[in-house]
Amino acid sequence: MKVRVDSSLCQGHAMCHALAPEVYTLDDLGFCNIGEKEVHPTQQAAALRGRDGCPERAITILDHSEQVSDTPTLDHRSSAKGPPYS
Amino acid sequence: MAHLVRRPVPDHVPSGLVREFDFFTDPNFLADPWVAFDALADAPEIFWSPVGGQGYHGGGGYWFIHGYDAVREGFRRHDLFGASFGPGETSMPEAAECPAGVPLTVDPPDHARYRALLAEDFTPRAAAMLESKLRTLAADLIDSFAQRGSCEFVEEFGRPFPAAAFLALFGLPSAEWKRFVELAATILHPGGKAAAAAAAQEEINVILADLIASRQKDPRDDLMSHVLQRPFGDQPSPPRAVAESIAHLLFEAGLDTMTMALGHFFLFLATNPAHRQRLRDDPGVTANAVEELLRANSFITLPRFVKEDTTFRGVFMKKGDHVWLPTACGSRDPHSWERHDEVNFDRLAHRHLIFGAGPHRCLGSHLARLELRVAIEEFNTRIPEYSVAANYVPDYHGGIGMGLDSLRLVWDTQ
Repeated sequence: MKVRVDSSLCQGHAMCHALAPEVYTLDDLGFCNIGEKEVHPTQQAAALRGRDGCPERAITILDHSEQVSDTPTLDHRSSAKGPPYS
Repeated sequence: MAHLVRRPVPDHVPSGLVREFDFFTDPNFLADPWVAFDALADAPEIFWSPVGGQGYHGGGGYWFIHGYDAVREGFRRHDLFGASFGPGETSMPEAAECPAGVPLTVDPPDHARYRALLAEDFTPRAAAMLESKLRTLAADLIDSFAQRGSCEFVEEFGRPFPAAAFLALFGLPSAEWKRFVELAATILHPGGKAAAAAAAQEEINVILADLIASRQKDPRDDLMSHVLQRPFGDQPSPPRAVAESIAHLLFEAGLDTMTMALGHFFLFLATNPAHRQRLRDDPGVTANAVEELLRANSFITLPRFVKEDTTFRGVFMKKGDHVWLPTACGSRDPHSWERHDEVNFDRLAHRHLIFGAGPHRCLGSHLARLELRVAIEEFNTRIPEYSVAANYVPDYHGGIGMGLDSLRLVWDTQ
């Protein structure tokens, strides 16, 4: 699975980083400037949560693997049913 | 008592879109603001209120937008909706060389060069560097009343903690917080005492101007020193007027909003022992709990002005129309959030809108999150069990920042 962060939409909320720090790294000004990035299978669930947590909808999932259950981008209700965080 | 301003509905507003909603002083709104915000879910997505908002933009006559997508889009469409305050609508002094309240009051593309002066000092990493200092400040305040078995939380923690944090950020002595709290209260809530507010404003002007002059001459490792050493557009450093405008904004935006957030959070925790218990049993959930509490307590409603005649989501608006973007009506939108009025620490709440969206996304959001988490952790360590005083009734004030005027907490002291 690959993620793409549209840096023209990123406003530095850094919620992706809070939810998946190993996938979404921040630059010195606090923006996620990673462009496209391959995601390790063990980090795919976190990567999806990071996408769902972005208030600017700046994150797209590419090369979507069938094993990972996706949620519609706009649907908070699906997200709300996600697993608890620790 | 402020009087309600009612204005004639302008010709361009269809009668079907008129609905009274005063989120400033309406007693029905203030009795339970969350219920009042949530009840808008079935109103037209964009409606015109002929009443409300006295003391702001003359009062009365504004568009009110609600629903997650509409509010979010309103924040992002800076091309349609300007963020600049009209003249005389802020207590921040107008500097001849720089607009008051930058970068909040300047839209793109000009916005970027102001924001660039500050971004690096407000990243999650920069906020984290203040954590141990904030922890000490919070602990000292709580220790000052822990043995008493009661406190007026807004007065004794909600105001001083953010003031002390502001002073730490600015490299000013934290012990001065009492004076800063007084000045902020006099300026932001003048309550008819215009002369006192003007004097307090003058005192703040002098303190901040002196600080900036001193850091320009003798830079240290603090916020204004950093700002003064950064390039500004094609200049090697910002003019002093820009630094002063920024300092004033941070003073006004950083103190009062944190006081309100803390009040909402601790009213919830004081009245929900199971949630409090969860935070003690499972401290790892605290960061997520902060997001969920921010979502459920999105108390900020921000003003915008229509830049040119436009049609937004099917509604025609005229240049100069006043628009309000209520973060509560996005973060708690019943059509977007399952059980919108329940606080669920396991929810993925991070898309809430309390910090806005688009270019004016709250600069201090990461510092705010840290202050809230530290406050919860330090309070729960020292005073694990507490509740609201028996005869306490939440006393909300309305407006841009809706919050509690007081919060009386009690606990056993053995």
